[in-house]
Amino acid sequence: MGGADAVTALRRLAPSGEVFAGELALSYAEDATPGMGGRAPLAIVRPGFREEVSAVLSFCNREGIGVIPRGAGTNLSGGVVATEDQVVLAMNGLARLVEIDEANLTATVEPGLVTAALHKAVEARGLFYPPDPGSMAVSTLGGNVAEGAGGLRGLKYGVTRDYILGLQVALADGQVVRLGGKTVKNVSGYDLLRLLVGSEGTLGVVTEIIVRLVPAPEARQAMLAVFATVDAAAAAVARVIAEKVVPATLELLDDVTIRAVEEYSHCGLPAAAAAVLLAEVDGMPEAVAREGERVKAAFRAEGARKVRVANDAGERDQIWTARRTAVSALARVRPTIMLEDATVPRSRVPEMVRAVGGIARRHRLAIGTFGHAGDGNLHPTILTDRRDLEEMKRAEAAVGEIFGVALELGGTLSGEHGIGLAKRPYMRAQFGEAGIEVHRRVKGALDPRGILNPGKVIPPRSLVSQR
Amino acid sequence: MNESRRARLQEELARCMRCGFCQAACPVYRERGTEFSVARGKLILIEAVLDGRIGLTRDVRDALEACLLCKSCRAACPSGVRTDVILAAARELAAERYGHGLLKTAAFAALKRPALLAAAAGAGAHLWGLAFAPEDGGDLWRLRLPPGNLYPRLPRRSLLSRLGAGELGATAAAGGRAMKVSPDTVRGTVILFPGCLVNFMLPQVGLAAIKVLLSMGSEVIVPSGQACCGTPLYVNGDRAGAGRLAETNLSWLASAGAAASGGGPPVVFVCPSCAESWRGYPEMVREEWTALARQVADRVTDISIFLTRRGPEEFLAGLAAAAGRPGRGDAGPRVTVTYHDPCHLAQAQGVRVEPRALLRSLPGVALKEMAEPGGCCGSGGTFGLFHPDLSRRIGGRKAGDITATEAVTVATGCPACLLQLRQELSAAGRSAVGVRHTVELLAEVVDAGRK
Repeated sequence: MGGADAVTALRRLAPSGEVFAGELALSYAEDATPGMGGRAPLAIVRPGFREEVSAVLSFCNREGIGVIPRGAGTNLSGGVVATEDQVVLAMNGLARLVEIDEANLTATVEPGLVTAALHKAVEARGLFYPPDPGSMAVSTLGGNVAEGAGGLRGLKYGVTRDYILGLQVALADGQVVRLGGKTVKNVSGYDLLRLLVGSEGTLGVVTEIIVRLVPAPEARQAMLAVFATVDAAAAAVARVIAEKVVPATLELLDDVTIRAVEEYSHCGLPAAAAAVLLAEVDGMPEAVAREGERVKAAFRAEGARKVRVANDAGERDQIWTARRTAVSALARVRPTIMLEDATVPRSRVPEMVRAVGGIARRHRLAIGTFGHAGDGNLHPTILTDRRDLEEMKRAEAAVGEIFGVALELGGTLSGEHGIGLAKRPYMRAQFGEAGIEVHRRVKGALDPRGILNPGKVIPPRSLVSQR
Repeated sequence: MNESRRARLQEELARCMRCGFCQAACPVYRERGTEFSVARGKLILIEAVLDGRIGLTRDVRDALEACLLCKSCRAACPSGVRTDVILAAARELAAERYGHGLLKTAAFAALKRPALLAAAAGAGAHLWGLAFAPEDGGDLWRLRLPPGNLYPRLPRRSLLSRLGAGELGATAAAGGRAMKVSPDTVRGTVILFPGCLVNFMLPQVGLAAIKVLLSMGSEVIVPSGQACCGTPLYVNGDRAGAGRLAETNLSWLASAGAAASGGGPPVVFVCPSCAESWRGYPEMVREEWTALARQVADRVTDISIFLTRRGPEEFLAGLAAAAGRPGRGDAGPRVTVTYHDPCHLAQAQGVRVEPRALLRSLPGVALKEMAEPGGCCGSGGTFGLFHPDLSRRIGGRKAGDITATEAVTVATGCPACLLQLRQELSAAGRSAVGVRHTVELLAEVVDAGRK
């Protein structure tokens, strides 16, 4: 089917939405992954009602047209990169906050609702939705579910997966199923709910989400500690955990990141430091005071040169500015950044950081590492320029090696960004042929014609692992 | 566009890392929700046009047009991409291909000739209703304006002609190239650039600014031959035309500056879009002008910054002295005022604190923040003319935020916002809410002291 025919048919199927093709569709060709995409998709459909999602899927399934469900397009692994023969289903037109159920501590939302908007709405009622991915100011909850998004508060509160109680899902053929619900306990049937979370739009399109809420913590205490070596910082992370304290957030910045952040935002980081840890404990005020003391003691015991505790909201803000601006600061050093999220058991963080340093030297690359040290989810960030093809080759080789090290250390390719297109070549290294085959069978069962986000996550049989 | 500028444009485009964070900042995206409405999508399209992957079709041109140039995306961009510069350059390419259309061509022709503009504005004061009751096709049809009330009727006399007639004791200076108003005791000199909207449509804002500056002991010099700052031309892709206007203004400024008691006085603005334009002059003018443009750009300052440069307390004391009564402490009834952050002041220049400090310093004023004081008003210069529905939706949101505060007056620091807010409040049936430039409220205190 040609583009013009498809557009005509899709307009009929999604009358309340927007359907367009041609040059403007090119604006949907890319996501936040460097060096991917660049061809205009066949058509863009932005439904105004969820019934239109089903109609479009049913049509595309019949015609064998690939469908890419898309939220805010902040993907970091090429998850919504489209090709010329595919239709992009832009879900951000379905963005209602359906209800906040204070009796059951749930919120029901449409997939296009922006994560930060949900935060704001529930916090106004003294409730809390903890998942806070870095892109939460623009990311959608549908996208968060599809990617299994994480965030800074993962250490204590877990990730998106831990807060999804129910989903309404449009299947590849347009049929709609409800999975889970508002109940805390629910063991009926297979745990299809969890299968859908993190499925990257390859198994179904989420049309409604029920999330779990928790009471908002009454108090918070943030602190910043400076270390002479990354090893000392990593040991401090281990000691905090050994002290039986679980901070909401425990973040690491390495020397490259510290220098970039300080140059960019002048928030008072010691430019000569090898590592900085940022921590926040939250909860009841008495508990926060005691836990804060224990974290401080653990930092000092591992040789922290300086521990700064935020005394008020302004100081807390200043501490978190350092972390929040990490990506921005690194992004200003070079035009392109490749933000990875290979994740290791937290006890292996020091080895991981050292290995990344070695890889950077071997491939003559600048790599800044920061991230969620508390849960082993680091973000080695390669600073490069997408127009320098030779350097991009070296960067890709470095990424491959980073994945290799992460797997050797008992970790995983991705903690929170997903596999998409970018990490497919490494899937075999993590799962082996049998593991890949399980993925294929699940995909085949739910999407027999292979129209949902085709080619993502599962490597094609022809693609030989680079390792 | 020559090769070296193309290369620079491509360099600037390469810095976009496609994070999409501009979505949170863009007022147009908020209403439309499509990728080509927001900076990231527009940049993808522009990059593809430059490397020949797509043509600069009418669809693409229209996507580039649907932007307020509010600079919110630039302020929010983690990588510091100069989205406004990129967009203006892309519109230049579009104009090379499609021209500016009948309406803009006519408007630009007038803007490029200050004398013609003044004459047209004078005639417009009489013929206003006529021009905006279009029935034929083309550009005029696209306007679909509400009958006669988009902007208030033009006042009969512009600020410059009123000063020329000696209002506020203005006298000619610099051989007629400037007008000067002096306080009893001169404690410094400023050059005030009123800009077209204030000169032709809101002369009272210019007069208010002069009164407040005088009360602080500033001698005020106004170039008598100001040209348009260039913004309407620059943002619509007529960079060369904007550059000539910049050169005209710089030359007037140089001779007006000669009338100043001290050298290199600050250049004070009541219109943040004009100020932004002047800051960009070094990149707009021809080479022989760049040195002067750079030097002047460093002296560009918003009036709220200038007035609070020694701290709001000092300003308050001066104002109270001028008004002959105590300031903040007085216990009379308080009226509620809310403040709208103009995009080109708050987002582009980062000025948010100073106007509020000034408003709080006013006797009898209680400042109450609206839900989203930084939300765009939907004006965007000519944006409202070409995208009335979108402009209306953005502005309607703003009007709702303002009325929710139950303020009797909304203050703002931008003449374009001021006109748009009046229109939107009137459309919402809330024309009783006063819309004033911050300096007008300050001047009221000065006036009260004189009586």
